[in-house]
Amino acid sequence: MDRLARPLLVLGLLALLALAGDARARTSEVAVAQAHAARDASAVAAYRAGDWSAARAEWTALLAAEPRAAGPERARLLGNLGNVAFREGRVLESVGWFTAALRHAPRDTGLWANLEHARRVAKLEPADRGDLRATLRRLLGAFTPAEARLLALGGLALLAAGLSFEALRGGRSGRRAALAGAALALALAAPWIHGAWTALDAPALIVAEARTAVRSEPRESAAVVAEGPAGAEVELVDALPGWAKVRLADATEGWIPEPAVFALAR
Amino acid sequence: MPTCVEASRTERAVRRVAPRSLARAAALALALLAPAAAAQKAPSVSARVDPMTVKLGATAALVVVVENAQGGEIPSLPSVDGLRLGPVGSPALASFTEIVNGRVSSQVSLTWRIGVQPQRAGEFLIPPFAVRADGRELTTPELRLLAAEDFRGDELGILEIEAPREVFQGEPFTIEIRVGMETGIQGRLNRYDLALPWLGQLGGLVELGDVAVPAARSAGKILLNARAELEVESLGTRQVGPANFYVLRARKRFVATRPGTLTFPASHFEFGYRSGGFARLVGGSTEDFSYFKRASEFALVVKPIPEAGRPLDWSGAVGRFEAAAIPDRRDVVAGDSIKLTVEWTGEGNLEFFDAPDLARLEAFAPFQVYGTTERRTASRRAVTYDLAPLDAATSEIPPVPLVVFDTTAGRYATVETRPIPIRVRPLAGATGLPDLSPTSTTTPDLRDIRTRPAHDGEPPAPSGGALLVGGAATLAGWLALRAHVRRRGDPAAPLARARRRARRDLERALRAARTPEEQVRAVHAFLAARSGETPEAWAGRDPVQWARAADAPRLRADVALDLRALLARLDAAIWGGASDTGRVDAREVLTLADRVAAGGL
Repeated sequence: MDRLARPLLVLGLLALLALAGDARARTSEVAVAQAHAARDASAVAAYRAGDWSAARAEWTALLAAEPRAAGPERARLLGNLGNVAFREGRVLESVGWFTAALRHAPRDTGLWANLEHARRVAKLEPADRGDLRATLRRLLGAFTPAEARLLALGGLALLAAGLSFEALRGGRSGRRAALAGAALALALAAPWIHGAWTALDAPALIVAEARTAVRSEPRESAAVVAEGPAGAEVELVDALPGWAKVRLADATEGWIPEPAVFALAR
Repeated sequence: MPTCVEASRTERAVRRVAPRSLARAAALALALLAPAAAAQKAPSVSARVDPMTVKLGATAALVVVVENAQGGEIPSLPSVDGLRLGPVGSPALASFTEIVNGRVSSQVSLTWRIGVQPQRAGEFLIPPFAVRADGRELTTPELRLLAAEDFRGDELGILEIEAPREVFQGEPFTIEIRVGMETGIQGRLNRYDLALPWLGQLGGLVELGDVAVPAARSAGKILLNARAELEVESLGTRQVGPANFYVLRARKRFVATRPGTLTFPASHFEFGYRSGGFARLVGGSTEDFSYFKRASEFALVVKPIPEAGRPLDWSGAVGRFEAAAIPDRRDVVAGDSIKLTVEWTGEGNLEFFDAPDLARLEAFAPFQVYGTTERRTASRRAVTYDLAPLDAATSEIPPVPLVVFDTTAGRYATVETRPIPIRVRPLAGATGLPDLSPTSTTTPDLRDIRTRPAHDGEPPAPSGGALLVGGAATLAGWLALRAHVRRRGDPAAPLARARRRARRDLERALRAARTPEEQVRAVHAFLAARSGETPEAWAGRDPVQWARAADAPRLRADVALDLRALLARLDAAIWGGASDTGRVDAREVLTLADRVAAGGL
């Protein structure tokens, strides 16, 4: 009995310590959520009052508070910052904010409407031109990366089921089941494959009004090797104070002034 | 008057049908009897003008005959000044076959009849021209034709063509043609043929149609260019010198489509008597006669519409116009419809110009224009506008302007209707017509910010690496499982499929079984499918001994014992004379079958 009592006592103490730690963590989470809500309310009030800079500062701070958070809440904050930029008259920047927000909530119709409106005001082509290619791209891009991976997992399960049937039963029906499983898996994995194939490491948008000179080196006197049109999507390769090195769609690399580029991974 | 047309039709029909049908029959006979005989003779050509002397205005025939040929063509006709030749039609095929003392001889010929009409008096030489026959090129001899003035026709007939000397491009004009014949011979005439060689042949001249003849003054129809019919109007008798003439008139409207000079060649009016019926078939009668009256060639100058001073709103109207406007009512309530009929009359292209669009005229801003309807004739253009005054302040319908090119003055002018006073009463209890302008009061804008935090987070999802590993593991697992399963044989083989199906088949057989014997057969079939044997192998077999016989037990001992007991009960039911009441409960059999399958069989 004594031999059993000591380990049980140790286990009980450990359990109590774990519960206490969990309670402290929960208390901390609640406090953070309350601070978050207060800051958000302050930003909304500033926006309603027309104090765009205050609203921008609050929502930017909220974004910075949880840099790894993703999903609808992050999309909401980015979208609201897009509204702020639009009201401030920085229409191209608002295009960047809405594009960034859609990366977290790609099926959000409100964000799409705001993006298309901002692009129209900025005299850019629509983000969704409505042709077959654009529709296909929008269909494949209608999922966040996590959703796309979940879909791919579902496809993998169907593939496993089809292959198991084929292994156990064989014959024509088995082959059909395996093929159907493979086709379904491919279809369900298509968004993930498309995302992995087309995603840039550090996507960005050129938000300068006129065509931006892409220079060979980060100085004003360097040769212009290309021109980046407003609204063009580029990839950020490097950065120096005041300058950003970008890779254009045709793989040309060069330096542009840092304010002319808007990072989309936010 | 219509008699001459009837006679002419009969002639044409006879000429068209008789020679062709005879020629075809002859050609068929020739082909059947002696095709070789004809082929051996060389083709030859001959030509003549029939008659060799004609009156000016008459048409002679250039007859070209090719002997001993099955096919041929005349590529082109020579050009002779003052002579109209052609067109060249298809040749008539004629054949002749005779049999003398048993020998067959045949002859085939092709005949063209080409119209020749002199345009002036004098002697004409038609130079030799080429004829192709059965691949060979033959040449006709030189031919002569004498054309003489028909002085008698000049005395007995009238042909006057009245046309303007100058017109503007696009301006419709009328050509009046008057024909007449001396009243003393009028009763002996039955043929009237007006030859207008320029009709339909001059580029840049478009025929708009005939001016309608009032029914009361219609004198019937005469032939036009030997093919068509032309309705003529009687103008009564006219005295020219000592003679009286019965005069007919036809008027045709034209429009010149491009500037330049149009030259109309000489025209002729043929009048006379031509016998019909049998007399015509045998070559005519001695009573036949024709006279020709000639009208000289004339020219028409088509002037271009000037570019200088052309208003931007020129409607394309050319001519002399007058305009009048008539509303269907003049006392209306605001918004009520007024049908305003604007009518343009005069000499000009009334059918072709674009009527003014009142909706585009500033003067008609106080009106809503709902639409138009149009009626077009050669002498009148009527457009009915459906207007509605928008408010009670409107007091008149403004003039409707039409920019025309006045051919009399030679400049552009505006033809207007008179302003029409109207009374517009306010609409009781209304604020006016709704604004139909396309401008919208809405303005697109951003959607508002979102004030409620979103609580849904990202769903938990595997990483991309985990997905890749999972995919690889799935493929590996499939290969391993496949290899393992096939170590015991192909799962799709008939025996394996029967083994999997055995339980289902047993259940179905037991449901259908009515006697213990049928139940035994069902059980034996189940055991055979599971063991890969025939059902007969299980007849009389002891399951316990069978299970022990192999190196490894095929069946668990307890299951084998129960199976033996079941089979014994069924045998007893069969051989003990039991009726269907001796059957074993199907559920019991199925339970045992499940144990058998789970027990290793």
